[in-house]
Amino acid sequence: MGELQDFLREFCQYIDINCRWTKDDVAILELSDEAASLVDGPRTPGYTCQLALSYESAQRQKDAKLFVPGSYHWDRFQEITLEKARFCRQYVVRVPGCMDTGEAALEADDGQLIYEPHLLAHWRLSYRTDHTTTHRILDLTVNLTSGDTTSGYYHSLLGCQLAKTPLPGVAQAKRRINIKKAYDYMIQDIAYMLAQEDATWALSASNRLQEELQALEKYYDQAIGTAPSDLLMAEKAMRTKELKNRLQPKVMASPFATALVYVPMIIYEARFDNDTRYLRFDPIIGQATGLH
Amino acid sequence: MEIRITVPILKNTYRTFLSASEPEEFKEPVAINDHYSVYFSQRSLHRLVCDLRSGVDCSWEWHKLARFGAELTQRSDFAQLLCPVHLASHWKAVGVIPYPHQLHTAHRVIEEMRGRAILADEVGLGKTIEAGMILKEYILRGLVRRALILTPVSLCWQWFEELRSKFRIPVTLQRSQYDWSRCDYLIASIDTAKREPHRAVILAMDWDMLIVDEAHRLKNSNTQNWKFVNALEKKYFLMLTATPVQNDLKELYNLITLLKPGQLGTYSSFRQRFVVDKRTPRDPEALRSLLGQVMIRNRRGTGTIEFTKRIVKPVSVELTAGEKELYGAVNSFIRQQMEKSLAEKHTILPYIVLLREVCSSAWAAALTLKKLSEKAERDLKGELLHLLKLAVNIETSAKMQELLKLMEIRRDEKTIVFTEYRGTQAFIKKHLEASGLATVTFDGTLSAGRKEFTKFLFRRYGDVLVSTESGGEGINLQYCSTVINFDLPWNPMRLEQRIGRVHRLGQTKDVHVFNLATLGTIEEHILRLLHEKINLFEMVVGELDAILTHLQLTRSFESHLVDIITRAKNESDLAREFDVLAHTLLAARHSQRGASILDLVP
Repeated sequence: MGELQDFLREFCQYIDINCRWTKDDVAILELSDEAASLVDGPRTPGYTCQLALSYESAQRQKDAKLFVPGSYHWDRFQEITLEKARFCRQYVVRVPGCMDTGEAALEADDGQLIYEPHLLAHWRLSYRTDHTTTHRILDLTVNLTSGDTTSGYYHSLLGCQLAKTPLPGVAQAKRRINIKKAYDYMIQDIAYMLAQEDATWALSASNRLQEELQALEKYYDQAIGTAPSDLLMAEKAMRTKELKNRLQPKVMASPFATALVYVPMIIYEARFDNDTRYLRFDPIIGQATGLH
Repeated sequence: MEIRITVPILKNTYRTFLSASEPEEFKEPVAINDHYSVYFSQRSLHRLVCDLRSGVDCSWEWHKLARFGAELTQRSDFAQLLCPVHLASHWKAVGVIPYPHQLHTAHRVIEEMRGRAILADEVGLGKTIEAGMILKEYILRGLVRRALILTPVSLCWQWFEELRSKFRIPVTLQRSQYDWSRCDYLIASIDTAKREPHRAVILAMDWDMLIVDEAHRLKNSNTQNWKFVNALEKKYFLMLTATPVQNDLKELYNLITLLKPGQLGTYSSFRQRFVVDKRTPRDPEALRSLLGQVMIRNRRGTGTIEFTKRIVKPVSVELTAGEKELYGAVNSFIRQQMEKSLAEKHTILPYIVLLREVCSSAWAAALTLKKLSEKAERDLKGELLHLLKLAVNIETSAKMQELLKLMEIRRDEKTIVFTEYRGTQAFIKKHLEASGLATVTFDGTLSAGRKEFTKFLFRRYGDVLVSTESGGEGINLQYCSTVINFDLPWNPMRLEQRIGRVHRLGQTKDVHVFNLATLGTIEEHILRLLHEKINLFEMVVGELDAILTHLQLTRSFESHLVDIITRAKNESDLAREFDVLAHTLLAARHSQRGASILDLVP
């Protein structure tokens, strides 16, 4: 329940809704006209509502509306949040323990600081069988300069300070990969990841589908055998398609919040004989890669 | 120069207008292994590119909150149904309480039957609610985006109201041929849907879910209804009927094959394995097991679903002197006409209807006598006008006096009064209004919108609703707890349907039913038959239907009574004929208890 409270508190803060709490874990929200229009549709006047964060408190408070994952108000607030969070553009300006001063010249040391654009997307993977659906959230990031794809980068970003404007004086690297290509890289990564995973969840569903298809096949073979007709053949094809559509295990993958994050990379140059080598250091994940 | 532009008002939400520029939701699937594929959203990419170009830019805080919210949502337990959680607050506000058997049915259909099932609950147990729950559940799980509900035309509005008000599903009532492709959740009359040009449009589309109400109309595979539904491409499929089988095991076979071809094998293998004769199954246990995989039937009765009591009281009414004279005169007139009709092969039916109308009210009889006299030849005209004069001169109605007494007793309860005749309906309304009761009338001539308005008026402001037979079909009046049958329908199934509008799930009070019948008339015989002889009102719903079907009397019970009246030479003959009928019904009831086709349904 603490997390539900945290979510609601933040949501109210961003929408500018006055929110206070009772002892019963019920939140009392005072919605302005603007907030009410956002929640309930245009021209809805402001009102006060109560949200109960558990079934017990919803039963105790007659007028309180249930606010737990899956409830109507939870789903509505999620819809608003997802709409608000569709896309953002941010620059990393501080990295704790690495880029603390906010001064580009100091942070670069004797290297060069450069912003590299990264496409960050949170994906929802829904594993669907004929009767169950489980979900999984993962984040993928594609460096639009180098094409590198990373999973879990988002959690490293959480510790950093991001802003809408860059650190002054820091150059921005050119994008070598467009958004569509980056999206394809993410797709390839997800497909690869899924291929490495245990597929037991799909196996039993797939077996059930095969059994149903065999039973259907047998029925139509017998029916067509005694009275062959184009109509029956077409019907068989349609019923087979319906069965696969309904029972085939599948994963549905959709991104739900994306961001273009400009990550500061420190580029070091080193000369060996007549050869110049470069090193790129990512202060977010503390990783260095060689550049040619 | 002024230019006027007329902008049409869009009544429906037209998907194609909104999403005309957007690509399909998902790309072609990527096969991961032999068992499954992954589908990637294409629309999200399109939106991302649009957002980038348009300069959409939210804050990082919102971005983090979206991720946080998604994680919290993902962690909740999706093994349970989403629909009751999602609608909990709304149901609390509108006073909907889902019954345990409804939740259990929804769960079984989704988890065990994978969304294809026959909901065969007995009348009044909430099949519509179960179907609504299942549809909403699939919508919330993202598995249904287009659904079609096919119903008899008289039930379209009820479905519309239930799905919108109880489940917040944005359904539309089909009105034009463009609605088929433009609306996501559509309710339509099956009779409209199966006709061109609609049929071609509907068959060209694939539906995530199809719901067919009153599905016993699909029991014959040679009908247009059956062929049309069979030709529809649908992922999930629900059929609703309180009587999945009536006459013949073949009906059951046709219904199941429509739902899940092969479940009962081919028809020849089904006959070989399961049929002794058309009503007697071989190996009923095995058949029941197969049916249990695709059908759910919840029943009323002790230990299953608790209902309030049904308290039925026959009310015998002594006719006034004027009414007795009229009845006697009409009765003699009809006997003369019966003898003539045997000789001259005329139909006697209009006169039988007249006899019934006399038992209902002199007013209804007068209207019919006037029409008959206008068409009659000279020799008959005189007699009919004489009868008309007798009817018009009647000043007091004994039944009306009795009704007013009953209304006084049940003063604090909303009451529904049923009558077969519109003439009687107008007569009752006039007298009830004169006695100060807020009276609303309901009949089959009302448009769908007018019917809904009438129901609203009755619920909010009315004391009494006076309805003809059409009120017995489909409308739910659980907030009413008194039913008065001003005249008795000759088909007892219709009587059951009338009471079923009030005595159903959601009824919180005991239901009082008063059956008015005039002494010394044909109504007295019918009332005695139903109440004393066969204990109609003690029967389990569906039992009577089974008995009548077994005797092949379902459609012809009324004509059977007409035969009795025609054959009987006098009152004692009539009484004897009714006794014979009662014995036949009782004997059929006893033999039905041994083996009913409906018993097959698990």
